[in-house]
Amino acid sequence: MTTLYIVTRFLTFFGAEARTFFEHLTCRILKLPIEDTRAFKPSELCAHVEHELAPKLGGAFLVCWLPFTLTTLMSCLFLLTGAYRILYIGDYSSLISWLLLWLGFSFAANCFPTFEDVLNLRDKLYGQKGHTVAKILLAPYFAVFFCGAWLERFSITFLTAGVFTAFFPQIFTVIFPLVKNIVQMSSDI
Amino acid sequence: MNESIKIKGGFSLKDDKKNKSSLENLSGNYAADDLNEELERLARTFQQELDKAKQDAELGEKLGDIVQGLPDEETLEEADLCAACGERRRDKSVSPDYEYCSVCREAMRRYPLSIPVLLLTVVLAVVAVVSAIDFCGYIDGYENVRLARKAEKENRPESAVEYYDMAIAIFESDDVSAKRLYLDSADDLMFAMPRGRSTMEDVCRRLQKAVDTIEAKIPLYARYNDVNEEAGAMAATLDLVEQTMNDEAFADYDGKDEEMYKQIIAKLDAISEQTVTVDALDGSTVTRPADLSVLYLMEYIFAYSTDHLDDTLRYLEKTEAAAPERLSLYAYEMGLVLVQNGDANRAKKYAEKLYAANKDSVYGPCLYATIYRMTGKPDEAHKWVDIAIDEMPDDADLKRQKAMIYLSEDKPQEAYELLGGLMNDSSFSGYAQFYMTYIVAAHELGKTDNQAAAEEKLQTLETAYTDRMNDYLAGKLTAVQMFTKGTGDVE
Repeated sequence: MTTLYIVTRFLTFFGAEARTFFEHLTCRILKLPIEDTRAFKPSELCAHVEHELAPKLGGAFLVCWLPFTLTTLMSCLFLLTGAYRILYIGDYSSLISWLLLWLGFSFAANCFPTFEDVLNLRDKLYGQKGHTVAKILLAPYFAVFFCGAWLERFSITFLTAGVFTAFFPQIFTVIFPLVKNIVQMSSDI
Repeated sequence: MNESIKIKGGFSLKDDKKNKSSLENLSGNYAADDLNEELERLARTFQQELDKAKQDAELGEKLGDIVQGLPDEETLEEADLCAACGERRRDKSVSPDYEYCSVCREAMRRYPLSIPVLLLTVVLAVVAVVSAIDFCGYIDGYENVRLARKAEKENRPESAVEYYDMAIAIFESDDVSAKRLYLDSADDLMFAMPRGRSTMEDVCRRLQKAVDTIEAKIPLYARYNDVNEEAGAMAATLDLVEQTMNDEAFADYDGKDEEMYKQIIAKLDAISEQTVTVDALDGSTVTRPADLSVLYLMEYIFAYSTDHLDDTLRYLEKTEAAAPERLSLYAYEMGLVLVQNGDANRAKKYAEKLYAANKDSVYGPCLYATIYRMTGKPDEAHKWVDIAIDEMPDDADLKRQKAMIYLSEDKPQEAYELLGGLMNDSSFSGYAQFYMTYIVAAHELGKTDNQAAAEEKLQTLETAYTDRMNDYLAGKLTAVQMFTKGTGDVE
């Protein structure tokens, strides 16, 4: 299973490197001691940074949320051209579009935190008394992180990223009118 | 005698018997002052050395403390050494099995970012932003595609094709290939198309634009190969029908010669055994049987136009049997024939199918309007014809349909006003059925001048009154009967 996981990280090279970088950045912000920042190490922590667990809830959440958000955001930006050009309108002749599609897929396949970080978040969020508001507000995030991190252990996120990429135009359609209005307002300004 | 000689610094040299002789010898050579000075100098030197020795002793004590704190190589195990530096003791205050010393732990909090990875991430971020900007540049095109897909889901294929065409224009203006849009629009046209040759040719053109000769061999495009050949076969069959109808042998056919009618029908029937050649997407030529649905539709049109109404239903049924999915070919006419024959319930089923399949088309609402008009439900008829008029507000025949409803409920004034607007429009070029309907309305109201004007326009079309119009003008048929019985129309 670890071999399969490492192989999928190599196949999504840029996403793995970027996610490792974002995790490193987050640990530096939180001043968490970092042990190993190599992106491609032959272990379950491939494409992740080895670091001490965050001692507080805020840090534990940020370690999960910030790399996830940055990676997902970049994936969406790549897919705006890659997926729309190739899958939505059928522009199969553009190599740049294929590259962007692969980059979007790579980032989507590497957006979830490590299972250890998620468990640490769970302990900080649901293991202490109090923080009731946080428990409620952060529950959806925790659910996403937990499911994603668990799936990533079995390299299933490689498949979910494919599904996300294939259906990205349909998913984005939900907010498409809003985005169009914003673009039009920007161009009017 | 023990005299202590006091020297500065506190050191005293005792004058004892042992050293007395030396001193007496010395005093033989030096004066007492010189001796004292020498002794003082020695005492000072000794005091300095003593102070220095004391300082060294103090420092030594301190060093001894530090040295004691250092791990003794002989006593510190490897398991207690920091895993990073290997020199200092592990900081067990973090956790019992913590692997690093406090110095290294502090350094790990400031682990430097890798410059190559940083640069790579910055480059990727820039590419991501450029990607978003490119997307925004074509957002109008993507919006049209979104609206086209939405129209497809709402069973409005004609609107979908319009949106696809707008999107294609946007992308192709920047040389962006939009294969999928061509394929999807060809699908919509094939599904919703009327019977025109231009539409069939348009389907083939779109498919040839999207799929080149090499791609046509890929199984992914197999379905589009079939669509292209189907559309091509329909167009080729139309050609055969036209060739038959334009045969010199039938040049004198006036629509009344029964024998010639049968000959023409026989020749048209023979087309069903023939094959047609079609240009395939891979550049080859394919032979296919003639398209029966188009053939039987043409036979229906021929039978209808020559007043062989008994044959019309049969040909429509054959058209439906040949291609039941091509509702646009037969459903409207089938519904009309059925309601004219008094089978309104079956007619309604075709109206339902037609309207459900293509909400952009006016045929479904028109069929509903006709059915309700002829079954004495003018309110329902108005509702449906209004739906059609909303879709095509400037269509003259839809206004004629509404006028027919007014006349069926004995409201000639409303019909007259509705059609009068178009009659007075100089840009309007009418047709026979329109003028005849207007004549009925004018006749009902006794507006002989307007009736005469319409008759003049009818004569310019070299069209005589139909039998039903003659019956109406002769008083054998009322206006209400005209539009509720028999064919339900002026012809």
